[in-house]
Amino acid sequence: MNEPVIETTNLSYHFGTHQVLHDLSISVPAGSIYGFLGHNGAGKTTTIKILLSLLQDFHGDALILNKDIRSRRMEILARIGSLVEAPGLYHHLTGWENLRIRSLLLSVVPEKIVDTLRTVGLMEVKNRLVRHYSHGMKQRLGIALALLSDPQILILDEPTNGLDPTGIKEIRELLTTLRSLGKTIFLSSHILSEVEKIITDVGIIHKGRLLYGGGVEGLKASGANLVEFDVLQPDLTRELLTMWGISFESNHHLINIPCKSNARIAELTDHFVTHGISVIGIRKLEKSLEHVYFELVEKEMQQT
Amino acid sequence: MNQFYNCFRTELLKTKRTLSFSGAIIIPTVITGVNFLTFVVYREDFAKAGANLWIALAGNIFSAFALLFLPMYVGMVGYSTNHIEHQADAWKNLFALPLKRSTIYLSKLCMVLLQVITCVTLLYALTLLSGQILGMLYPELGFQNYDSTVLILVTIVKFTLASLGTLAIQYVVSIYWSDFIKPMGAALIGLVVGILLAKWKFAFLVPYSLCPRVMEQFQKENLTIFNREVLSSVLWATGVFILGYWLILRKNVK
Ligand SMILES: Nc1ncnc2c1ncn2[C@@H]1O[C@H](COP(=O)(O)OP(=O)(O)OP(=O)(O)O)[C@@H](O)[C@H]1O
Ligand SMILES: [Mg+2]
Repeated sequence: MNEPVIETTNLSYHFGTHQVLHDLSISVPAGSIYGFLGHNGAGKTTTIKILLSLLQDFHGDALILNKDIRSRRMEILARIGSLVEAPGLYHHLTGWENLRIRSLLLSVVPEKIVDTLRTVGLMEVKNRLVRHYSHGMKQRLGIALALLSDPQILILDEPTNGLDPTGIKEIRELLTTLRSLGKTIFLSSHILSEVEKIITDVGIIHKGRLLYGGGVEGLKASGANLVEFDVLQPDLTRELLTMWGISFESNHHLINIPCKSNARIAELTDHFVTHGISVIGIRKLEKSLEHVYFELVEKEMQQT
Repeated sequence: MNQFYNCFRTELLKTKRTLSFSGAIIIPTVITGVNFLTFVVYREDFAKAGANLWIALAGNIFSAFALLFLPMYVGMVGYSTNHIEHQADAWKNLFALPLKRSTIYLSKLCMVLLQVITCVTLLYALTLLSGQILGMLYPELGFQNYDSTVLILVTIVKFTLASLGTLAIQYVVSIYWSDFIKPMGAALIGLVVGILLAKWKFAFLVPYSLCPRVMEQFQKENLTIFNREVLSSVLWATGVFILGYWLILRKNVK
């Protein structure tokens, strides 16, 4: 297994008396695209700010490249490119000037600016004031700032925020390319469908607690699989399922029921047949990440 | 060192298309310009007085500059260098870069000092120039008969040093307060209180009273630079800068 590039142990954070992170332990393998997912206010940005040493008064431990962020801040930050929330841009300067400032601060040669502008597709507007940029252009410039030093680790907080579908697709492709070059990408989002296709690992955070952390496949395998029953008596089936207390979703004659095992599928089929229902088709559904995500979050909400 | 130099260059770049340096040019130009016109219009009254008119000329300029414009300007530049970051929401970017926080803090400070030094240097040059021109145009004013260059230089240096204390306070305050009203309100209240307290026995301890007191020393044609007002200001500045540095090391970007 790859060893973790980012690892936190029991991370906790308070804004005043309000605790927003509770013993958060995440582990981001080297070379992964780690999707850090959660609803608004879940604590994604707060976690990212801790990783970047922007919030220093946290409890617990955070290691990046096996170095403690409390004591080796400079070495760590030299390896990271980041975008936190909305990109902080100087609106009275042009896109090129914004990148020039960053290149001076990072001691990056000016030629790299042009490459980066091309990568994010801002070459044509590089001499326009950022004040006159569209929302998506600003977001692209924010990504360009993160990429400028060609860092080994990218920490991006909702990078596709405000981008059009083409833009989102471009960023997805860009991130996949960067991963193939050996970089590790930590990516937060609350829109699962946007990142589902590219992430290899996932952390699901809800109200400051980690609900799941690990590989995407593992997440899909966890919990129950949905099985689709095609029946000739849908109304009767719905009645019976309600009576038996089994949860389901239905769409005309198609009834979806979560089943933990094959034995369960056989058992249900038997039940249907004995109650006079004709089952004419059974199909295991490919589970979407989104589905699992909502399942997890809902379960958590019911418990509290 | 190289990093500091680069960081300082970014500060210069950030002032592009802003009014940052215009203040340093407009303030001295306007004050000395208006004063020049006053001398032209009332030259007969001034000629009758007969004394060394360099003192009257510089006195007029200084009372506007040191009692009003310099304290406000110092507050303004201290504010604007930090305001650029507040407005762009860029502290989070700066502090997430592999840069020492001290490098950022010091290069911003140098930027502020550079602006103040530009301003006072220009004021010095324009004060001398306006006296010279008046002397050439109207010999009856007698500017050519006296030389107060040293007194004027000494006093401007003292004004600059005496404003370092307030500069430090305004600079540090505006790192924490992102809005315009609070830091500039503090500067304005400080200015008024400073003038009111200037005659008090312990006024040399009040950073905002130091410029008015240096003004009095100018009227007495005092040439000592390192007196207790200047030392007090330098001590205030050192203390507040160290405090500000301590605070910025601990600053959380929420
Ligand atoms: N500066 C702040 N002061 C006080 N509380 C804050 C501050 N910033 C965030 N919080 C609180 O911390 C919690 C987590 O916020 P955070 O910004 O980390 O969420 P997020 O997961 O990034 O959400 P989003 O998807 O909306 O960006 C929220 O309850 C929020 O109210
Ligand atoms: Mg957020």
